[in-house]
Amino acid sequence: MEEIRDFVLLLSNRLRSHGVKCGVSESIDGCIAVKSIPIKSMFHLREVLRLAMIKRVDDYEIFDKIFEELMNPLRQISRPDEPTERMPGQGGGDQRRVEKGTGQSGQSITFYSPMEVLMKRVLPAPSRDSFQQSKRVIKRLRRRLALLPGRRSEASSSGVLDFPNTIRTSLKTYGEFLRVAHHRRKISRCRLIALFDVSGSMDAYTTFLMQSMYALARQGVALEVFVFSTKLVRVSDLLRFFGPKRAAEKISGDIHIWGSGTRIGSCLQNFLQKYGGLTTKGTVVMIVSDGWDTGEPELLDMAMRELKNRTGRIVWINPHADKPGFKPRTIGMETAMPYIDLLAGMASLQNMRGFIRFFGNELQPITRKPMTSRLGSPSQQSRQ
Amino acid sequence: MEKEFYVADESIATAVFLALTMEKPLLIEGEPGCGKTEIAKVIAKMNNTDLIRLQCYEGITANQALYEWDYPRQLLHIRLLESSKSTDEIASEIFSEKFLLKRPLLAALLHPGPRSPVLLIDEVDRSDEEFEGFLLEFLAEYQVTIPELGTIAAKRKPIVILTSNRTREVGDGLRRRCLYLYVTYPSPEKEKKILRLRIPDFPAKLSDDVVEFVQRLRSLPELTKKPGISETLDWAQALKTLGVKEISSGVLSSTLSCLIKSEDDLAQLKSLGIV
Repeated sequence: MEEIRDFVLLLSNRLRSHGVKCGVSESIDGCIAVKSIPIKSMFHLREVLRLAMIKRVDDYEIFDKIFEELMNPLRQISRPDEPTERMPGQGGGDQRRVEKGTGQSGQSITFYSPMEVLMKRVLPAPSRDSFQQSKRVIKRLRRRLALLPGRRSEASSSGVLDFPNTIRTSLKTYGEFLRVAHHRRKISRCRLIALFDVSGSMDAYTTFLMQSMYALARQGVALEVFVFSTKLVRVSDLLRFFGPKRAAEKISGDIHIWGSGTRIGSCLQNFLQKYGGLTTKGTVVMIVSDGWDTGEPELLDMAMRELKNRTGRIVWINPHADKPGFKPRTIGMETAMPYIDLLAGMASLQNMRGFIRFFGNELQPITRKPMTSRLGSPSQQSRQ
Repeated sequence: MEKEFYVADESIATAVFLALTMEKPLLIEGEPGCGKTEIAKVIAKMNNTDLIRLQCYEGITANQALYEWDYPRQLLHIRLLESSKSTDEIASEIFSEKFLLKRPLLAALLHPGPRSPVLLIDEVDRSDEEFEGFLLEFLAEYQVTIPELGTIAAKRKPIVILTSNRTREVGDGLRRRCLYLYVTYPSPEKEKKILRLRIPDFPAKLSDDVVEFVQRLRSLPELTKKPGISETLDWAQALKTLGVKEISSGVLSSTLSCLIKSEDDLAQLKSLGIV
């Protein structure tokens, strides 16, 4: 028994050092579980400990590796891979090659590449003031975009009978019920999912991206934040658990796709496949991108249509949309336009004036009819 | 478990055994249609006890899950007693268990026995965070407080099974209180076994073909909604009803609606030349 206890403690220690949430209660659970079931084999022991100590499927892989490591201490097993998400069969772009600094010394030729730029970069940490400001804006934004019934209720002519209120009003007439009150739940919540384009063309807005990403993740209510360029990475946890400075460090260290090319279509497709469960008719998807896309427009069209049919609203924030005379002319924008409920510029996330300008009173009603392909139809005019 | 027509592999059987012996709730996550809900039903059958089911949905409130006062009956009762009894007597009478509508959670606590009931909290990810927070207290203490009646503790701890489809991540607090099991699509052997058990007189050759085809569909990355075990069973049942001997392309195109539930996926399959 002593042995098992020591083993469980060692295991939970290792798990913790690999970033798995495994506290004292998990260790206790592990010990009790092993005690209460006759262990037949090593495989069985692993099953039992995993059941009791691991609480999310993403940690299964790390657990298996650590368990293996502890069982066979002689065999050297490499550390678990970076927790990034790769698309099957899509490593990094097509056959075009990056040619940097070829030939002449001291002279470098740089041109466009759809490859992943696998390098670290130093990201600015969002300052406290800017965070507070974005938080305010996002709070109002959420209220404006709300699609889901919240906790509070409002009086209405139909809906559920409101007994407390009925009795209260009956007091005026000495306990005789003349009017029956009804109430229903007020639409006040919004489940927001944000997808940020961090490709090279968005480089100029890095500060803004970091700031709004951080503010969005910290808002808390069922919110997921993803970044994408050539592939899609979920960053909500990174942003949520670390302070602004650490989060910036972590993201620049862990996520290597910053400044790559863009494949919006395949990233959205990937999002729908892997995280499709996150989307319901009550979800608002917010995509921050300039629409420069190097993937196939058909793929983007398909992904946008699917997204549109599965979510409540799509908001597209384009950094150029604030500029006078802006027309959604990039291929990505043209393809995506028919499916977008709201197109807005950066200003809408940066200050109140921009926000009110774009989200003032003109939220469209939500179409519930499934959309069919509209590729090739004349693009809609922007909301400028 | 096989007696109750459920094929459990080692991890599922271990999970159920541990949940029963450790008296801890079991949180089951996994792909849709992989038999998560079925586990709870089978445990109830195995233990020969009641299954109390709470289906979570967007906007479920504590009232709908726990208890509610039966207002209309209370009002009627007040009217009847008004002339004969004093206010205090009426109050103590109308706030008694007689006028309490028991919703699933309270019903599980007050279950008369003799065995503890199985409480299935289905699709807990569909409820709001506030409701999840409320569940935490319930799962930790197995008791609820009704202001007018006081605290009601469980006579027997119910066997609690929670399921989630991962439409959102379930909070860490809830995870910590549960044992955690992830179920995914079964191996071909297991799936064949399930088919044999659920549809007894299904031809063996056809069942091999069915399983092979479904497994192939699942391996396609292009599909957005992959068929689960329930879809396989539906399809096999359809084939059996139609009296099909082997899977031909004609049969496939007419019965594929059992497996594929979206237009886009169907188009994808057509473009890949599978249908």
